[in-house]
Parts: sequence; structure tokens; C-alpha cells
Amino acid sequence: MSEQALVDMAKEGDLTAFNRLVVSHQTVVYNLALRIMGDPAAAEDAAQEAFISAYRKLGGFRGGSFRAWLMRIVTNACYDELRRYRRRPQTPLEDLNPLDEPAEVDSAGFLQSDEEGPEAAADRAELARALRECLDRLPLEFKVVAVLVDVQGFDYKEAAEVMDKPLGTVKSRLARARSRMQECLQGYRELLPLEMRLESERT
Amino acid sequence: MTSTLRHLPSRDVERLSVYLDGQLPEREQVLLRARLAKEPHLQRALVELQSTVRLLHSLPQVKPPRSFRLTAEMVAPRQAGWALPSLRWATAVAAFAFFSLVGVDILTSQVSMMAGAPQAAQEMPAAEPLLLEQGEQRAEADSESLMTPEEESVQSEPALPAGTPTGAPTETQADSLAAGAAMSADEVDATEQAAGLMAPSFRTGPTEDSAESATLPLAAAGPRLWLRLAELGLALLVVGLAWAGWRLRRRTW
Repeated sequence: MSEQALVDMAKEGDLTAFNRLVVSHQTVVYNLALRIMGDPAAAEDAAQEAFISAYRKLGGFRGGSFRAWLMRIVTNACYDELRRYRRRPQTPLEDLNPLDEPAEVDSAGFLQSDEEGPEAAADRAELARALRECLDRLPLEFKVVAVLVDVQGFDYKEAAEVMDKPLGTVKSRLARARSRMQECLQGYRELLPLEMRLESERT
Repeated sequence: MTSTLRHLPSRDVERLSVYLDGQLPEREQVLLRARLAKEPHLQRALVELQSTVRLLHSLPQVKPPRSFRLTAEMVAPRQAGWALPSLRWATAVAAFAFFSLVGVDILTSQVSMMAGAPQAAQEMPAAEPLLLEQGEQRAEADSESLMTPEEESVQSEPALPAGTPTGAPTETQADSLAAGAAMSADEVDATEQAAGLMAPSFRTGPTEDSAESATLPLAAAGPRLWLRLAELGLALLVVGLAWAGWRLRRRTW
């Protein structure tokens, strides 16, 4: 069954049809929330809130990309959650953020070779942590665009739709986000691949 | 030691970033490639940017800790119980009270304005004739006091028979002089009386009456001040209740 058919059925109040949409999008939704919030528990809350909100607002969906529409709701849910944390900062998000995320590290296939030793695995985990930390240091509007395009693989048009911003804004924000990320990652240069280490260090 | 990207103009960073994603228009691509061939720092910046993007792309997707499937309970509108209807009623009652109070305030201020206007209009005509009368008296008295005793006697006495000596004052003239002096004293009394009869608004010096009239607006301002404070309080209450209702409704849905 096509996504549009499921959307139409869900619009009529079919919860089973909507749950099929949930299953097909929940990984992207959770990951987007996790990268924006930087905390698994907060991301879980935001993802659940986003799905509930999406079901209730489905009547207002006027076609187009359902994924972009859903991600917009997720982004807004994250903004709300972050605002709530800022208003009541009893437990800072960075304290909630565990130093290592076993689920992520275990599933991290990036830079992994078949004959990877324990040392290389530890470096890989450290690099993943460095990336998360640098992402968290980005201003929210830069973080969102970097996660959408560079982590989740959205194209510019879809990212613009999610962010409700013109294409030009997406391009400039993404360039600045990448530049800041690169600068931040220089603080972890011992973990970076050789081509990323700066000229002065290499020579 | 800093990155090459940091020293590049933001326009160039953006061009490189869009170029990496294959979104740069063909013409701009040609121009950028020509620059990249000539400018090593631009090439270095491109490599830095490319590596950063590759690292971000390689961040793994994390498996959600649980399923986010919705249940019927999750999507059923949460019951706000009695709180929401009560808040709505309270908001409506407070708003009604506020507008009623504002209406009363406007009406009373209009009534007091209308009552104040005829009173002032009545005071004006009453004072005017009095002043005119007083002015006439004064003018008459002035003209009389300016006369020499001789003129006065000529005017007041019937014409003397011819041959009557006029050099020394006669008995009759002395009487008339005394009468003139007495008239001046009467005139002063009359002026004082007139001043006493004048309306308070036409007096210039501070008197007991004017002090009393000064305390009147203060006495009237008391209830009005309370009215304004009550209006302000009710307005705040309406806003507060409406906000609480909105918050509750948002939480419910």
C-alpha cells in the first residue's frame, strides 16, 4: 500500500494505517530528535509527542512530502522540549547525555574495518562522541540543518520544507554549520582521519 | 593553528559547500573549478569541508529504544475534568464584570460632566448683573467723588439767588461736604457687600469657601480611583484566566 493511501486512511481515523506510517518513519524521527536534543530520553519523549501531534494534525496535511511534513513536526516538538528544559533547567541535557551510547557505537559501521582491533574500536567510539559534542555545540538553527542534510541525507528542497525557510537560507546555514563543525573537530584532531588534520600538523 | 575555512570569505565557503552537494549552477561550477586549480588554499578548504561532511554522513542511525506506535488511549483527547469548563466560565464572568465596570465608569463620568456644565452656566449670569450693578454704582460714586465741593454744591443745591456771596463756604455747603464724606464711607461698605455677594468663582483671594471647593474633587476622586483599580484588577484577572485556560487546553490536546 502506498504512503499516500495510508495517509488518507489515517485521515479518516484509521489508527492501524497511521501506525504503519509510524513504523516506517520512526527510526528517522528518533534519530533526528536524538541529534537535535543530544539526549536519548528527551529524544524519546520528543519523538512520541511528535507522532501524537502528527496524528492529531493529519487533517491539516495538504499533500506533498509526508516525510518533510512529519520532520517539521518533530523539529517543532524538539524546539518545545528544549524550551521546556531551558525554563526548568533542573537537569541539564548535557548531564543526562551518557558519555557512551552502546546502541550507537555497536551499530556504528563507519570507519570500521573487518580486522579492527580494540584500540581502533575505542578510537571510533571516541570520534563518534567528538562528533556528537561538536553537533551539540552548534547553534540550534545550524544543528538542525546539519542533521537534516549531512546526517539524515535530506536534499536542500526537503530541508527547506522541514525548516520552513527559503533555499538560500538553508544553503548559507549549512555552509556555516559545516565550517563550525570542522573548526570544532580540530579540537579532537588526534581522532580525525589523516586528510582532516591540518597542514601544519601533518608537516 | 586554525582551519583554512575560517579565513575564507563566507561567500566562498557557501560556494564550496553547495559545490560539494552538486547543487552549484553549471556556470558557477566552471568558475569555481578554475579558481580551485589556481588557489591552493581554496583547494585545502574544499578538502576540509569534504572530510567534515563525510564524517557527519558516517554517523550511524541509532535504533529507537522502543516502538512509537500509538494506542487509542494516547490519541484520545485527555479529560481536563471540571477545570477547563470552570476556567471558561470564570473567564466569561470576569470579562462581563470588567466590561460592566467600564460601562459604569464611562456613564458616571459623562453624567458628572453634564451636571457640572449647567452649574457653571448658572453661576455666570448670576454674577454678571451683580458686577454690572456694582460697576454702575462705582462709576456713579467715582464721578461724585471727583467733583469739587463747589461743583457738588452747584449740582446738589438749588440755584442760589443772585447776589448771594460765594467766597466762604456756607452752612449748606458744609452740610453737603459732610454728606459727601459720609457717602464715601457708604461706598466702601457697598463695595465690600458686593464682594461678599459675588460668586466664589469670581473671587481672587483664598477664602474658606474656595478651600472647601478644593477638597471636593479629592473627595470625588476617591471612589473613581477605586473604580479604576477595580477595572485594572479585573482586566488582569481576565487575562490570567484566559491564559490558564489556553495552557490547559494545549496540555489536553
